[in-house]
Amino acid sequence: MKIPQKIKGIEKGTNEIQRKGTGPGNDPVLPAAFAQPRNVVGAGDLHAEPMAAGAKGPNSPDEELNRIKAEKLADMEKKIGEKFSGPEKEFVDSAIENYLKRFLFAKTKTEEAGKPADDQWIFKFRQKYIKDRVRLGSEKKRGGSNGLLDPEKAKLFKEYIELKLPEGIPPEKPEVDEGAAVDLPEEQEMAIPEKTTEELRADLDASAEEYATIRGNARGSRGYLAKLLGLSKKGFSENIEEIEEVKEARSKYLQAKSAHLKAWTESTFKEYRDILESKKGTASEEELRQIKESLAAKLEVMTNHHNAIEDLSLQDKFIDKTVEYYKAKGGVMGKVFGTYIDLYQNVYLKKVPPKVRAAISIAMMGGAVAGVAGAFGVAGGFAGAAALVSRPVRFALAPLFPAMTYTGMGKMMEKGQKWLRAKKAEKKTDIAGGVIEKMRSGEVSVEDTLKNLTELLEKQNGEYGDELVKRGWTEDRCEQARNILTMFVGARAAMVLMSGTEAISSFFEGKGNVAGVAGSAPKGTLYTKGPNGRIRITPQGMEAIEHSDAKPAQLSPQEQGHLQELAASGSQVKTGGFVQEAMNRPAAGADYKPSEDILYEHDAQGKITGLSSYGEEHFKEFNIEPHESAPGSYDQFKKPSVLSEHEIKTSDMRAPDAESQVAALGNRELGLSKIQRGGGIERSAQNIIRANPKAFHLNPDDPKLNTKIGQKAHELAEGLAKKLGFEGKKGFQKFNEIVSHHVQSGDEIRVCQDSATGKMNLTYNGRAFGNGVFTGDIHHGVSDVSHGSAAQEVVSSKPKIAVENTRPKTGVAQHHSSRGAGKKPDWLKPYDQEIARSKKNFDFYNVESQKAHDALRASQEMSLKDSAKLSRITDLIHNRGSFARIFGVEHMDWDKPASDFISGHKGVVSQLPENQTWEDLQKIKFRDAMAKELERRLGPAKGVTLQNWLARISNEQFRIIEKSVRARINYR
Amino acid sequence: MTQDTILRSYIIEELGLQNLPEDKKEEVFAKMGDVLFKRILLETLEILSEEDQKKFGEMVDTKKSGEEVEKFLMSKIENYEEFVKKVTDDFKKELIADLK
Repeated sequence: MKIPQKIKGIEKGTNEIQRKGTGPGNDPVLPAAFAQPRNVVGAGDLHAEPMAAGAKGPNSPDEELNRIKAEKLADMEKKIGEKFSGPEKEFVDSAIENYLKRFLFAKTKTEEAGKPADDQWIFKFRQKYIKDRVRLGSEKKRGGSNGLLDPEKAKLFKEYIELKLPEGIPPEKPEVDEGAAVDLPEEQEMAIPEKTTEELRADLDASAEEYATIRGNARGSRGYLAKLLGLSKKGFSENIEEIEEVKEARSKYLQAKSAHLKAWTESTFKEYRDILESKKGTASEEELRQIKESLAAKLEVMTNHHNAIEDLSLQDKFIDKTVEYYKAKGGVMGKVFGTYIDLYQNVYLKKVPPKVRAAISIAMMGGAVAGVAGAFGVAGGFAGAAALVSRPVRFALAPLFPAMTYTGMGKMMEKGQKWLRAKKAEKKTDIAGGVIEKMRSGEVSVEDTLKNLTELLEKQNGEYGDELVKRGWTEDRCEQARNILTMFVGARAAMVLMSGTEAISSFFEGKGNVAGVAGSAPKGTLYTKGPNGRIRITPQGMEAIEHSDAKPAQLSPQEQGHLQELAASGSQVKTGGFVQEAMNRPAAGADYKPSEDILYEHDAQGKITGLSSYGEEHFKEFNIEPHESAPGSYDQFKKPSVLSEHEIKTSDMRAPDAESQVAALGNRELGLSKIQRGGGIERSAQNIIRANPKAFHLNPDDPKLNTKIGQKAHELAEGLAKKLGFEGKKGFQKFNEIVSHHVQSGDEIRVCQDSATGKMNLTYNGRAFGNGVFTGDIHHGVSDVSHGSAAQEVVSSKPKIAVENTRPKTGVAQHHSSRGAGKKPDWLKPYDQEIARSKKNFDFYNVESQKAHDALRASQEMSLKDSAKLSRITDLIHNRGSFARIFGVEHMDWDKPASDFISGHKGVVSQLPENQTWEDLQKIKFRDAMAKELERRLGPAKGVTLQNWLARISNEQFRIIEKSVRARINYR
Repeated sequence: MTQDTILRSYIIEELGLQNLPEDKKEEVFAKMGDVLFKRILLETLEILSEEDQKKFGEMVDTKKSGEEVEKFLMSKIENYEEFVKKVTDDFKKELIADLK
């Protein structure tokens, strides 16, 4: 943060030189004087030409002229002191100070080029310098941040600099004027006092701002590098001043940064040394450990700062060497050079660890270009870089541990870093763990932390606020920016603030029993634990096994391990099968029978108590009565569709039937979706595809993903139409006509894939084409024409609705009716399933206490509010109506305050006992995440109805919410 | 401001302040949100050129939409998302480290 620039005396408004006796006759001009403030010795002589031999005596015309000039200068300085701001004065000072250096540099270059640096050249150089300075001071780009000079100030500046700069050749070396030494102002004779850390910080901020200003508007870009390298249209020599200016500012900045870092490090070590001394012999081991941990954490911060300096230093070296190379090549930018810049940018702009960057940079300097003109002879760069890494910190350590050698300190630092890393890995709670530990141990009270935190924040707020105001960002403007950028910045910030808190989050969320229960992936549950601890593979798990490319990116190491183990076993596990069984029977292959357990709920003794959710779907899909009145024996419920291939082949069935069943076994469901209000078959198909594009051989990162999803859904819909007898364009039009008028919300579609051929089929279940009619190879449903399907009404003459099977004509409605489920609305079914599942898991834990019953009830109630399955998140949040489902608000009053509704979901996770199922936790987490995300996006839920609150959602917000929630709930 | 909510959920817990009275929490949340946003803003300005800073300011003054401003920043600062993440991450780490 910048502090007001130190004004170098111009504000005094007087040219004290005349009063200090360094008057006429003391020529020639001293180069040192160029860099001196106007109120110090020699400053008044700058404008004077070198005296020729036989200088004129007192009161000569020249002397008179000098006197007049000096008076003019004094007058101008007074005006500048009064009218110019601090930064503007800085700019004026730098223009004077830099002249000598630029002059000598340009003169050397000119002479090296074989051109004369004669009087004419000097005159031209001086004029150009003055012109450039005035231009820079008046242009927004360069002078602006130093204070854009208005025309009046620019005119004054021009007159001043014209008088101030020498017209002749300045001497190469400064000559010490013994006589003048006695007249040195006090501030020059005094030893420079050591600066405090705060002062060094102020210097650093000032130099950082100056550097940022001069650096121009293309930091890190090709344009900036080109400018640094003198590759603009004007050519190298034309831009040499700018290059020098940038380098100088950068050098100043780096020096300030190093100085501050050194002081900061010293003070930190002193602080810790004092602490250790004060606790000598009294501190417990734990206390010492915490102190060490704290110190190590700070060292890490310092090292990061140091690495930043290293980066910039290396950048300088690179530029220097590159400029040399450029010169060696005669100023022509070749292809190699362009490539080099690209490499450079890649190294510095990409996310590469600092040490690696350093190594690459040096390698680049020593490697690729070393052979060119010998400009990059930096052999041993790697070793050099390694040695540099902790230099300031080691340096700072020296006074504290005088007996320790520099190398020893380096080793100690490395050990410290190693220790810190090991600690982090061990605790997995990062540095925050220390805070929590301290809280627990009572070493630091909550009140202390709050007090410290408040003070720290207030300090930072003040600093940042002041700096923003300096940059023209008032409080009002900042607030406005904050309102505008809430969504954007907030989202990114949220992701970061949430990262790395896993261990802590789990601490608050009910410890780590989750991971032991089941594995998950973004698509959903990969496997769950069944009775006796057996692991059951879900459809998503199967998919993960089959699509091995998804593993590294989507699965946790633990999940990958399980699946790799499974894959290595050579087993052919089917959905719903148990991992252990498959692994114990690797040769079973297709002979392995999908476990019937998946179809039913069991009690602790393994007795069937009812249908599982999978069984619900299965029987519904296959239109089979489950015989619920006689649970306990799977044989009673054995259905052809769950027979093993072996059983089918060896059964007494007729061959065509057996083939049909084998074909059915070979089908895999890729997704199920209920048609939403206002939706259609194609849109629902899109939802299924969008939920898992990889299963449809689509790349989730494809920029044209939506288009491709649309195409795929269209193809599937066409396939469905064809199977229903709607062939050709006109047939498809009629199909769509039926869809648009008769497909209802709640109707279901599925996408299945033939495992053998890879062919995908869309199936539909609803009244539009006859309830219970599924099409596609997987299904042999019923065309219950007695229902009077819409298809019959609309296409009364032709459409040949597929009637492939005449299995029991008990439609889905009948099926549910027979189980007494028909009285319940359809949307409650998933809740019932969840209750059944919760109950089963509850039994699994075999906990019978009242507390456990309460926990079960709580879990069931939460399940009731959420029919969302993780595998269908995308589907659920695809449109606004999904929120209703997610939060179970179909039966809620939309006019109730949104805050009531949100508070019922937020933070629920941490209040739950440990004996909940993994699915429960995921769902709860999902709702928790969604509630928080909604509040984050839509603003506080206070004082607004649920309906109005949700109505704030824009399409764009939906996109971001979806992404964010998906990312969050899958963090595990 | 959304950061308040974020901070409420995570940093506060990391600092062990989740059991504070609500009013105290609110106070701290508000302060954190202020500081973090200012820091992000400052570091953004640090990178933008004079001209872009001015344009950014004008967009804010004229109350351009979040999308527009976001687009502008992303066009001017490479990997702006990463940049914001880094600033936030630094803020988080430094805050915790400073309190130790």
